[in-house]
Amino acid sequence: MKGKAAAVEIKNFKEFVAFILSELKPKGKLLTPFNVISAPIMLLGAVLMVIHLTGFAEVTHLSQEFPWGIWIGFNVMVGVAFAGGAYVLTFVVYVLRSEKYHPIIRATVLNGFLAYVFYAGALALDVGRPWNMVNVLVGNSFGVGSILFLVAWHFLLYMVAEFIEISPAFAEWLGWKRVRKFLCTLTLGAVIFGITLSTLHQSGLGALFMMAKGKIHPLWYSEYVPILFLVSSIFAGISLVIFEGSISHRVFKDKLSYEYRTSYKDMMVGLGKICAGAMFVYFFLKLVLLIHGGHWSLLNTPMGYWYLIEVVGLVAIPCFLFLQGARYKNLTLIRVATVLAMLGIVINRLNYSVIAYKWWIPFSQRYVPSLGEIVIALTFVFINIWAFRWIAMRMPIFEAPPAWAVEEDEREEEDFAFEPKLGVTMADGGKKMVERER
Amino acid sequence: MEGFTYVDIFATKGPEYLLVISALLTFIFFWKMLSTPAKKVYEVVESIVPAVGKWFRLPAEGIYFHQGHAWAKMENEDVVNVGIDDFAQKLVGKIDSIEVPKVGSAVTQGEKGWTLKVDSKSIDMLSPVDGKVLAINRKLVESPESINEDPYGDAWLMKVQVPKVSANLKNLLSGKVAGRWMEEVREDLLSRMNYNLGTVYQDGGVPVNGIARNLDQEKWDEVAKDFFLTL
Repeated sequence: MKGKAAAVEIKNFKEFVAFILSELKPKGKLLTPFNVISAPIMLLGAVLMVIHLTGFAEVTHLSQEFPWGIWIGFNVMVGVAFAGGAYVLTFVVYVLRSEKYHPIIRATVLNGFLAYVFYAGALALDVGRPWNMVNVLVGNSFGVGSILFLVAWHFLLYMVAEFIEISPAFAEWLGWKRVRKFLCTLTLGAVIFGITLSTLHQSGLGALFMMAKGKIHPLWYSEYVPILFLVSSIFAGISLVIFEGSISHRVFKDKLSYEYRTSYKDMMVGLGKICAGAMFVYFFLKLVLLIHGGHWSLLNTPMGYWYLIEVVGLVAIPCFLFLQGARYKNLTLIRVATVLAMLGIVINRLNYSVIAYKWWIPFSQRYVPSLGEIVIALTFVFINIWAFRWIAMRMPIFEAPPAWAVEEDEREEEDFAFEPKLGVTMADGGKKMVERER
Repeated sequence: MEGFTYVDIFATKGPEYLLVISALLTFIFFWKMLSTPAKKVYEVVESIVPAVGKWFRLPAEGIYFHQGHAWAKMENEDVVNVGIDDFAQKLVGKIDSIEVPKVGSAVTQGEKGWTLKVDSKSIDMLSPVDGKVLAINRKLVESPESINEDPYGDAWLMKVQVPKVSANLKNLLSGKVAGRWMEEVREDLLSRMNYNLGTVYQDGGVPVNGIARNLDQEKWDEVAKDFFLTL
């Protein structure tokens, strides 16, 4: 199935500007419920960000006691875990060569890329003097002793890798044939680089919390937090892919490629299986660590009940639901499991950074996010969604690439592997041969 | 050493070993459950498959299949009967009418031969041979449902005079090769099947709406065209 015929090819700067300006115009209805809710929040968020950055007034409830709020705990920690789908799926598609998931790969990578861009944005807002962030990169003062040094470089390099992975879609949008050809040759390298970085910094974010020994409740604290973060990012990321797919399936109904539509269910069931497997491993890791730490007596305390809600209610139960959903090929079950698993990740990451952090301090003196912080946190989420929608409406993310790109890929494949397949050369009545001669 | 805490690694070893062993044992069952679909899924698939099962078990003596789900059968030395196979009809469901070329016009192997009209959608199919159309089966064109009764006998669609019969037939599938191809089609079909819609086929008979609708309710004509190689 081929997408729209030969798109415009942008040849000079003037055309480029004209094209971008024409594409900037909104497509589709403006007054959707989502827009009506998100637009005011984003506007308010923008104002609050300015107030926060200029130091005009106190926006957050952060203090010396609680320096990390929801911008770190939710936007960065949860956002990065949810962006894990990109490295898992690129591994499945480009390294394991499972073509089944090809139709969702672009949407997933785009989502991962945007998540990193905007959640790193949240990080910039959180640090006191964001303009000093550049020092880590230019070497004014690398600060190699800090895990944040790793995190900063990983984020930056990973964003570049993700951008390279998604860039053929941009080239197709602009009709740049030669650029696309070049970018496509970079894909596999970027994928391998990206997977390596991901495994490193997903666990690196967990390693950040190892500094806070004694401040994090013993049921959560362990030397193996990095491994827990890595394993949980697998099902967190895949859950988001299923969640996003369920929404995109409706929102971008007219954009979906033939392959996407016909294999949608099969893909979602397969992803559910990956989640079930990863959650199984994660659940037993949690159990082993509970025993290893020898903290089971703590289970019978309020924090212990909260721990059980997370581990049983939001890991074991969704794991079982994923299993049943995959066995019965039941999308509804898989979607319920997805929502529970995502909630589990949000709570888990917030536990480390906010809830189980300095748990002994009474509630009245604890950090509770201010309304301004919540608005700004939501603003980042909404900007992410708006950017995703803007790109998906214009570039071949869900729809098939333009005809010229498909042809080029086919030619490339034929040059690469000459495989006499039954039915292509002889049994289709020479259809392919005729087509090629044309 | 400051900050050093002594951990008694033996205190919890016993329960840890037991847990690891039981986790691995559980994983065997877990993996088995995960990798085999539930019985109910098989039942639904099986209730759909009989609808096309007859076609898959077909004794294809003397029948040459084109991969676009058309067939050809030698009538005599240079005249070939051409038709659509049983699977094609089951895929699209009830065919309203068939648009065929005029008697005397030429058809080309692997190019558009005729068009099925189903629910106001037009689905092209490819001709399995080259040649001149000698006759059209009016009875079939008017009541396409009779394809089912005798798919490769009375239910021919056109008689075509083929100048190079043996060259044309070489491009088609028969015997074991045809069997293998049907197996591929079956796999393709099953991998795309939506299991939840099983209720549509409760009677176990031919799906009235066609299998393609089960695969994609809105744009099912594209699914059919994909199978017919005309997408």
